[in-house]
Amino acid sequence: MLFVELRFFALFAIVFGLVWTLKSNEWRKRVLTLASYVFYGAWDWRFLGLILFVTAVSYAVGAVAEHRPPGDARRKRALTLGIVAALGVLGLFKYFNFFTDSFVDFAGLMGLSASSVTLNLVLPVGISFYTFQAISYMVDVHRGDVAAKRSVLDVAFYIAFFPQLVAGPIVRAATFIPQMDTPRRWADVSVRACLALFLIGFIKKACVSDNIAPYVDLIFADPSSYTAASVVGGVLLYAVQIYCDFSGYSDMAIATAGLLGYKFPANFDSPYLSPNIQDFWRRWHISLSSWLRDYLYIPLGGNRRGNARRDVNLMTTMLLGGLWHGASMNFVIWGGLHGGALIVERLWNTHVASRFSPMGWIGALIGTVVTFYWVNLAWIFFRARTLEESFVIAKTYLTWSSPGVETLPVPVWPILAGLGLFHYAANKLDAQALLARLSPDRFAMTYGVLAAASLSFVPLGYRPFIYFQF
Amino acid sequence: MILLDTLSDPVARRTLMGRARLVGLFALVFAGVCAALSLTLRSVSPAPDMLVLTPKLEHFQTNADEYDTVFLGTSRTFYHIVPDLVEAGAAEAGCPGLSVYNFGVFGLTGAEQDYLLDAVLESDSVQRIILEDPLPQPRQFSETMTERARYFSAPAGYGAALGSVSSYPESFPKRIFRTGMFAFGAAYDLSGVGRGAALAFPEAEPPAPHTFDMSEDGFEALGDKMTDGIQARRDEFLSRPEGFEEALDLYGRSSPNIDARAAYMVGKLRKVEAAGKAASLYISPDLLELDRTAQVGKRVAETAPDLSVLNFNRPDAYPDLFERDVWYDFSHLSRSGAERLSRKAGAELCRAQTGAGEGGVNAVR
Repeated sequence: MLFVELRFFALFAIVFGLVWTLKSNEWRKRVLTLASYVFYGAWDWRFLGLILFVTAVSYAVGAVAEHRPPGDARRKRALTLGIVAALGVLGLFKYFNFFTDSFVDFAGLMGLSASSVTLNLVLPVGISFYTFQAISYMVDVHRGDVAAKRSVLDVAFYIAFFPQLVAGPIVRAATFIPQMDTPRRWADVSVRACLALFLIGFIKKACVSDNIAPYVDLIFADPSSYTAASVVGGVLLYAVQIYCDFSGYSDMAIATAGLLGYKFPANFDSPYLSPNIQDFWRRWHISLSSWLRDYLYIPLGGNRRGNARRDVNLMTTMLLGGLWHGASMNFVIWGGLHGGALIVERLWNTHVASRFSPMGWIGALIGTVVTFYWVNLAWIFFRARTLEESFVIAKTYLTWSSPGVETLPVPVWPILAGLGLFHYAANKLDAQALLARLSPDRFAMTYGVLAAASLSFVPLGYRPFIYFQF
Repeated sequence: MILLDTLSDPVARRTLMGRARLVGLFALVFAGVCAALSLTLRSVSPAPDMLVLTPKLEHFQTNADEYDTVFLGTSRTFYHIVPDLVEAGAAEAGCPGLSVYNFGVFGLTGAEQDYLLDAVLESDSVQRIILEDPLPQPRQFSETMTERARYFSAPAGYGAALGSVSSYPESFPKRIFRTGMFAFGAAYDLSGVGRGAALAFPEAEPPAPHTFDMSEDGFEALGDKMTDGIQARRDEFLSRPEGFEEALDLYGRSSPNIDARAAYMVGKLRKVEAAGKAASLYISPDLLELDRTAQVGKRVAETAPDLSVLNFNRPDAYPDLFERDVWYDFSHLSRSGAERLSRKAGAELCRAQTGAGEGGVNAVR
C-alpha cells in the first residue's frame, strides 16, 4: 500500500475518523496499531510475523532493563541478545545470500573451493527501518533515555506505526514514546501545515520522481549506447529522482503522522545545496545519519580517540551505512565514496583550508558544486545494477566521453533546469508555510487547484518508493 | 454518541458546519479544476493508439473508396465476418460486385460504435452499413480505466454510453451497476490523471504503433493470434462439452428490457438510413446470448418491419451454425464456422437488398 494509492486514502480516512472520535488514548493506540498491521499486511501478511517477533524481542529486552539496575550483567546480556536477534532477522533476509556468495568468491580467489548455499528469500519491505527502530528502543531503554514500556501494545505501536513503518523516518524511542504516553490533542494539530506538506511530498513523488524514472531506467539499462551528455543528464536526473522519491515519502509520512497528532523529525533539508559532504549528511536522510552517528559512530569511539581512529570510525560507519541500503558491493562502494570524502574533507580543512581566509559565498558555491558532483558520482554506484555498469557510467561521468551515439528522446537539460528552478523557488518561498498561512477559505480553494493540477501530472501506473527495497 | 453530542452543542455544531463547508469548497474547486484541465488537455492530446481499433479505423479512412458495404460490430463481427466470402455469398445469391469491409472490434461498446459509425458515414462510397448489437459498458473497475475506455468516456459520448447501458437486455440492478461503472469511468476521465504527465514527460521508449494485417479486409480468425485469455476460453470450451448443450437451452428463454434494446437498435439503424445508406441489423451466432440478441433481432423486425435484420443467432433456423465443431469458444465461431456464416450473410444481405425470396425481413423466420 502506497501513500499515493486510493486504498491508502480510504484506510487513512477511516483511521483518521476513528482516532479523533475515540477519547481513550489506549484505544487510539490499539486502532493505530491494528491499522499499521493492515497497512503492512497489504504487501504480504506473512511478514507480519517478523514485526511481531522483533516487537516481542524489544519488549523482552525492555522488561529486563526495567527490572535490572544500570550496569547489571543480565541487563547488558539482554540488550546484546536483543540486538543480535534484530540484526539476525535483518541479516537472514537481507544479507545471507550476499555474505555466502562473497565468501565463495573470496575462497575461489584463495584457490579454495566452497559451495554456495543461497536461500530464496523475499526481502520483506521496510525491514531495515523497523529493525533500526527496535534497536533504538532497546538501546534507549538500556541507556535510561526512556522508560521501558510495560504494555506490549505500546512497543508494538512504536515499532509498527504505519506512517514511518516501511521507509522511515527512523523515529527514536526517546522522541516518540513520550508522545505516545500523552493523548494527542486535535487543537495541537496544524491541519493546513500537514496537508500542505503532504501535497508537497505527493508532488515530489508522483509528479516528479515517477515521471523522470523511465528516462533514468533507459540510461542505466544501456549506458554505453548513449552520448556523454545523455549519460550525465541521466545521472543528474537520478539525483533528482531519488531525492524527490525519498524526501517526498518522508514529507507524506511526517504529514500523515502529524494529522494523527504525532510529530516526526525532519528527514531532509535541501541536501543538494550543501557546501560540503559533512553538511550533506546533516541534510540527507537525517534520521538514518543521526542514528548511525549515535548508535554506531559514537559507540565506536567517534572523534574521541585521535584523528586516525576517527577516520577509521567514519569509514566504518559509512561502509555499514552503505551496506544497510542493500547487500551488494555497489552500496559498499557508495558508502566508501562518502566515507572517503568525509576523511579528505577533514584533512583539507585541517591542512589546507585553515591556512587561508574564508572565501565567502564564492567558496560556498564552489563547495556546493564539488559536493554535488561527488554525491552524483556516488549515486551512480547506488543506482546501477552491477559493478561493471557502474564503472561504465562513472567513466563517462568523469571523462565526459562515451562511445554511444543515442540521445534521450526528451530534452533532459531543460527538464533539469526547470525542476531545479521549481525546487529553488519552492524552498525560497517556503511553500509549506506559505500555504499554511492562508485563511481557511483560501487554503481550501488553493489546495483544490494545486491538488487537481498535480493529479494531472501523475503518470499512469504506480511505481513503488525507491526506499521500500531497503 | 459523540456525533449526537456535537450536534446538540451549538459551538461544536458551528465548528463542524464550518469544516464541512471548507471540505465542500475544496471538493468543488478540485472537481472543477480537474474537469477543466482534463477537457483542455484532452483537446490537445493525440488519440490513443488502440489495439485493432486504431489500425482498422486508419485503414478505412485511407481506403474508404474501396468499400461499399461495412459490417460494424464486436468480436462477433471481427472474428465472424470474412469479407471475401460475404461477397461470394452475395454474388451466388445474385448480387455481384459487393466490396465488404469488416469493421469489427472486440469489446465494442455503444459509444465506440457511434464514434466509428460517424467515421463510416463520412464515406460517400459506402452504400450499406450492417450494425451489430454492441456491448454495454464494462463490468469491472479495471476495464473502465484502460486507455481505450477512457478515450470513449468523453462527455460527448455520455448519451451514447447511457443509451447502451439503459437499453441492454438485463435486470434492473445490473443496469444500475453498469451505470455506476460508467460513472466511475467518466469520473476517472474527468479527473485528468496522467494527462499533463503524458504531455510534459513523453514516453522514453514509445511503443511501436499497433498494426493489423488487412489482407482479409479486417477479418481475423479467432485463435490466429493467441493470447492467454483466448487460450483460457478455448480450453474451457473444450473441457466442458456439456456447456454447449446447456447454452443451447438458453434459446427461447425470455430476457428483460428487450423492447428498450430493440428501440435502441432501431434508432441507430434509422440514423444510417437518414444518411442515405442502407441499414441492416446483424445478430451473430453467440451461444451465451441465445436468450438475448436473438430476441432483440425478432423484436426489431416486428417493430420496424421495413428494416432488414440478419438474425443468425437461431439454432432452429441455422442448425449448421450450431454444430459444436464450428465453434472456437462459447461466444465465437472458429474459422470454418466464420466461413460458413459469412456465405450465409452474403446471401441474406443480397436478399435483403433485392427484397427477393426469403431475404431481408424474411430472414427473421
